[in-house]
Amino acid sequence: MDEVDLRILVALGERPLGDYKWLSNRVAISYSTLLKKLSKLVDSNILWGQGYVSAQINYSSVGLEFVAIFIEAMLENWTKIEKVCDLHPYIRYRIRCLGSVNGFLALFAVPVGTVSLLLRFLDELIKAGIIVKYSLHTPMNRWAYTEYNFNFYDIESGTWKFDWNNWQKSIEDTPAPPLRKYPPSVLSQMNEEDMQILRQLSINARMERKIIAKTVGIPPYQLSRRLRFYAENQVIDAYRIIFGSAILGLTTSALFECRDSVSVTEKFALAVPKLPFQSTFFPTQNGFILYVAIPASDFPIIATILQKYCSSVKIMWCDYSASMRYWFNDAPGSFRCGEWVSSREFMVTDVLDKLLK
Amino acid sequence: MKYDRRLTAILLFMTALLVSSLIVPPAFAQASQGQTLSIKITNAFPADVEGDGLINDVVVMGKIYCKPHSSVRVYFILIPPIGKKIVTDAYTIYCNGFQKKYEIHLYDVIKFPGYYTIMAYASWNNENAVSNAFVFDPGGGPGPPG
Repeated sequence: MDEVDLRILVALGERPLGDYKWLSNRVAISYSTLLKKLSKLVDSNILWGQGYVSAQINYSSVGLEFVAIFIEAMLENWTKIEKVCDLHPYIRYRIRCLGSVNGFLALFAVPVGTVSLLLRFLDELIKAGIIVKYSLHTPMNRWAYTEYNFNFYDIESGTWKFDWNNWQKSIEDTPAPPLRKYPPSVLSQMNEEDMQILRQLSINARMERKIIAKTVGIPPYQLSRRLRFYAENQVIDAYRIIFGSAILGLTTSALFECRDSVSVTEKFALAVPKLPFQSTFFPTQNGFILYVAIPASDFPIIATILQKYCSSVKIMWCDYSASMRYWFNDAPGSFRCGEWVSSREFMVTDVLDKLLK
Repeated sequence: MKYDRRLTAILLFMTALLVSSLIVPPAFAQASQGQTLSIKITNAFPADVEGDGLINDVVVMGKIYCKPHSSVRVYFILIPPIGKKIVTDAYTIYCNGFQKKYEIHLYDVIKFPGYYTIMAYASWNNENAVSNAFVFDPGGGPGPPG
């Protein structure tokens, strides 16, 4: 990576959907140089080639309930668990972790009222000896995200210049507002075409609008109307930058499961977006879960800060290269006649049958 | 009058020819009765077979029903969500018995996200067979939780 690459990544972080013209102006390079540079960033696996900007869907707005699960499992079953996750129709994310939990963080977005079916499914996996145990966390409020801010990265020394003391001071000094509410469901105003559009946006949000319209089979004007509807109803929570495994040269991924009062969670909900590293923050019923990709040298600093404020902190290292961020509406046939399929067969039996086959 | 009748006969013949060509499947598309050769795809999924850090290869698994001690030529057609279909090189699979499981790796064939359709074509001793169409989806990629 050179100076220009960094400026491109900064600009992309500022405006993930910014068109090439805007990006080239922002970076102060020609349009053709920008395209060449972007293609090089993809080829060198710094940006993820199949789509380096992904829409983060607000699951509550599409009638889904989000659940985070830490799964403990024996090492020899890890590949099997990844297969299990791949087979589940409502899996959203999985990542291997080592530390307080040796196993996985798996995120599911299941139809509202079907968490019990998910638990049933996990219990069956325990019975089958695939997992040892699991713990469930229900995010109570909207998440917070950050993307890398490469303005803090010094390319010459290869280090991040971030003032952790200042960050810690901001936690203490700034009064935190209440946690953000989830937007209400607008599922009744959506159909299968919407789910297809959201799927395409989760794969590659920078895809040309006319290609998305063609893929979904709708005229472009209808797509524009639907995009406006999503914006008005907060269907899309954020646009995430998706990095390839080459980013591991700069940072390493960690997970913190922190427990304390809501006031501490509120403080961190405000502080986390000030980090210059890619992160996801989930407020849960007991505290919060924080995923952050930071330089290995900064890991003890953030861990110490979290220990200072939270009564309990569980720490895990994550394997980013083995993570899987599933595209939205990934299981064909999961959305039918305006609602999510929520039968026991679809969510439990069929998945187990496929696994055993 | 005689001319009209001849014209009608020709038109009827042409129509019958056209209709039959539409409803009768081509020889390779369906195994005829008594045919020994058939092929099936049981699974296909994206993977990083080469170990280059990119999940852009495809593993295809399936079964060939064949005559014992025959060498079956197999090739695949992959239809990506965007762009032209990919016709692979032909592979020779040796059948010991009446059926043979196979696993073929196709390298660097996943360029775009979305649904891919793959079909296998087999041939041996003037017999041809085509498999079921198997649809798969790369599903996702690395990234932050969400």
